[in-house]
Parts: sequence; structure tokens; C-alpha cells
Amino acid sequence: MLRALAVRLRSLLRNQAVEMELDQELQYHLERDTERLAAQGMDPSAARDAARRSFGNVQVVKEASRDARGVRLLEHLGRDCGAGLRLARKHPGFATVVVFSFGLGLGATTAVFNLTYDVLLAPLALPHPERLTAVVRTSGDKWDDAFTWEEYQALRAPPGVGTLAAQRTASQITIAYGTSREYVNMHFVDGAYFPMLGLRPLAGRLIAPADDRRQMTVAVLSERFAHTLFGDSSAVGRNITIRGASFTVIDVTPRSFRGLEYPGQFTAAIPLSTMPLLAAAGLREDDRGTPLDLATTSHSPRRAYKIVGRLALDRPVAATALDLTFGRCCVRLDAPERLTLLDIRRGIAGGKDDFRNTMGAILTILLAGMALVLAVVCTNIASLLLVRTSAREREIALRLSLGAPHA
Amino acid sequence: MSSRTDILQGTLDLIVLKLLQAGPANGWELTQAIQVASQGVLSVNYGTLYPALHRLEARGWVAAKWGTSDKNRRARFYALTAGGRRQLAAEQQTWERFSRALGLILKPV
Repeated sequence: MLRALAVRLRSLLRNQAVEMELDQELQYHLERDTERLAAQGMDPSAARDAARRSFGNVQVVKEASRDARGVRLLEHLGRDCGAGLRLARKHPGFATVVVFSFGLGLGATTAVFNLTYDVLLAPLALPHPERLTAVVRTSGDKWDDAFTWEEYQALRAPPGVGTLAAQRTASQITIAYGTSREYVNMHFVDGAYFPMLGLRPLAGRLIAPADDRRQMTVAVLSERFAHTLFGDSSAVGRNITIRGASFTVIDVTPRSFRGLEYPGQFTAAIPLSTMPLLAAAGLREDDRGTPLDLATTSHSPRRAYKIVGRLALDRPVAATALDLTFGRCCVRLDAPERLTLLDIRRGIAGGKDDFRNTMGAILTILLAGMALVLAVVCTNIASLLLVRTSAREREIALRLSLGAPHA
Repeated sequence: MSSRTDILQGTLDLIVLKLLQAGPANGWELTQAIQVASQGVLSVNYGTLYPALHRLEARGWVAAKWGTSDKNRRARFYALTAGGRRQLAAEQQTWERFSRALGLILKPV
């Protein structure tokens, strides 16, 4: 097997040497035949002629030997490319038209596919996005991903199933730094959230379980937002004011991370336990938005939490879904409702900004249209080439008669 | 010439492998050996021998090496490889089965 491969490789890469060897080999054969005939009493020159005659067309033998080495396909490919380039140089106008129309067709298709991929297919930019999940209560086609704090506590996944984390969001939260003031969509996350995501810290450290437990006033900002707020890229260690309470920035998240929601606009996250600090700080006159619903505790009795998680790697998804049903006892479910794990590798769907349902069909039609355009381009070029080739019939006949191989 | 027979299609590989079992040989020696061994009945066409040798080489059944023949000329010698030996055994078996079957069919009734 190895030897066979070596023979083929050699005849591909050292084509010249192999051809010369073939020449020598056939030459040797001719000489020996001439000698044999001469030994039978034939005149030397007549013997050479006879040997050559019996040998037949040397070119045909050579061609057949080359075929036998089984690398003709690649050799022909190389030769075809060469011929193609020569022809393109000979007819620059036609070549330009072909390249331009192919470019147009391919470019348009690629552009639309990229868009489709980003919108409909791209998974979240996190390690093992296929293991990300959200707990939801489903009833028929509808699902609801909001839970109370008590329900989240009851749902704590048993060991081996994976990790669950809670997040809560609030819009129009004021973040101030120096004289600049921004209103952002704030993520309040428990300690399990960032370890569950599997994000690698960029410059400092991400919010850890201890931060949430000890009510540490630390914040993680998105890289983009940090840049807007500070005007430069050194964010870690700076103090910012969030609704009157002072927080320290401990890290930034990469631009590829946009949160678990789709389309996602992660800007900032602080520990869930620090929520009362914000409420206690009260609203200043330039603070906007609704006051947070609880001043004293971060653990709202309202359904205000999303429960997201990551399945353990060695655990099949179906088994995990079953194990979670133990939570039934503690989660209030109305008659047809069930607890289910949602695949959120492409982000949590169904948010108010989720345009995938409406855009999906349009994008698919657009993509099909572009594919059609590409097909039309191909057909056009093929028929153009056909016309030109039929005009070259005489040239090709001449080439064949001069010994060009039938590819 | 009428007493000569062309080599049956597909049997050239078997013939070459069998002759190489006796030891390495070059192409010219093989053409002579085929004539001698078949007592002049079979004559191999050069135009098919060399492609066959190269095909066998590409499949790894024979290995080619340059050597010196008599009169000190360089010639390409082909030798059977281990894979070639296995192939020979297999092809020989197939052929024997086939010729026995053909013999049964052609047997005078």
C-alpha cells in the first residue's frame, strides 16, 4: 500500500525523471530486440527497422504506461488549468466577463448566506453552546421562562446534571463615570452565571460565587460599553456609579459575547445580591426608568428570574430533562404545563427584539433567489463557452491530429 | 503465425506475476520468457506489457529497480513484492477454478 502510494507520488512530483526512465526502458527493449534479430542473421539496420516495426507506435505505449500509473486525473487537471490560463490571456475581454459574472454570482450568494448564517444559524460564541439550556414551563407551543426566586432555589440541579444559574434584567439603569452618564440594560446575575457560561476573563476576573454571597460591589462590562464609558480600553479597577452606588469594574467581556438572549445586547452585569443597594440608593432626579421592585431583598417573589444552565458534558440531554422533573413538586404549574429544558445554543428566542420569526422566511427566500442567480450565471457561462468551443472545432481537430491526448 | 494466440484479456497480470516468482526480470526478458514458457504459442504485445508492468507497480504488486543486465547495460528490473505474492496466489486460484469449469463445459458429450 505504502509502496503503491510512493510510486504514484513519484510519478506526480518527479514527472520528468519518470518519463526519462520510461524512455530508457523502451530504448533498452528495442536494442535487445535488434540484437536478437541480428543474431538470427539479419542485416543490422534491417534488424533495427524490423524491431521498431514490431514495437508499433512508441507514443501509444508510453501513453498507456502513463495511464497505468493512475495519476492521469491530476496530471490532466494541471494541464487543463494551464490551457485555461493560456486561453484567458488570449481573450482578456471574454475572460473578464466570465470572472466578473462569476464574482457577482458568488459574491451575492456568499453575502446573503453570511447574513442568513448570522441571523438564523450562528450559535452563541461560548464554549460548547449546544450544552446551554434554559428552564421553561411549556404548555402546548407556548413557553414561559420566568420563575420566582423560590422556584429557582427548588430547581437546583442535582449533582452531575449540570449547573443552573439565575439572571434578572432591568432596563434604563444609570451608570455614571465622571461626567458621563449612560442608561443601560443591566444583568443581575447570581454567582453561578459566569462560571456556567465558560467565558474566559479578558483582563481581570469575572463575577464569582463569592462575590454574590458577600454582596461585593463589582461589575463586569462589555468591552464595547467600557470603551464608550471610559473612552479608552483600560476598564479594570475603575470605579463607576450605578444608581448612586459605587461599583468596581473587575473585567470586560469580549465583543463576541452578546448575552444569552437573542439578538442580545449585553452591556453590564453585577451580582444579584447587590440589587438592594441600588434600590436603597434611591432615584436621583436624572435617573430614569422604574424603581426596582424590592428595596430590601434581591429575592423577588415575583416571576422575575430566568433560569439558564449548562448540562454536564457526560450527561445525555434526555436524562437531564427527566431529572429536572423532580422540581415539579415545588414549582407552581397550571394544569397542562410542564417543566422543560430549552435548547438555547442560538440564544433565548422570543424576546421583544427577536426578529428571527419574521426575518427567517424573507432571508430563506432571498438565499434561494441568490442561488438561482448563481445557477443562471453558470448556465450563461456554460452556453457562452459552448458557442465559443464550437467555433474552435478546427483548432481542436488540428491539436488532436498532432497527438494531443483525448482527455 | 496462425499457430500463435493472443494473450487472453486479463491474464497478462497473472502471467507476469507468475514469471516474476522465479526472480527479478526486465521487460525484454519477460517477453522472451513468455514465448519460451508457452512453447511459442503465446506472444506478448510490447504495447501491452509495459503498461501492465507499470500498472502492477502502481498497485504495489511489483517493485522496480534499475540494475545492470548482461553486456553491462542499465535495465529496469521488476521483482515480486509480498503483496504481489498474495495477489499471485489469489489470481492463480481464480484462474484454476475458471479453467476447470470451462473444461467441464467443453468436455465432449
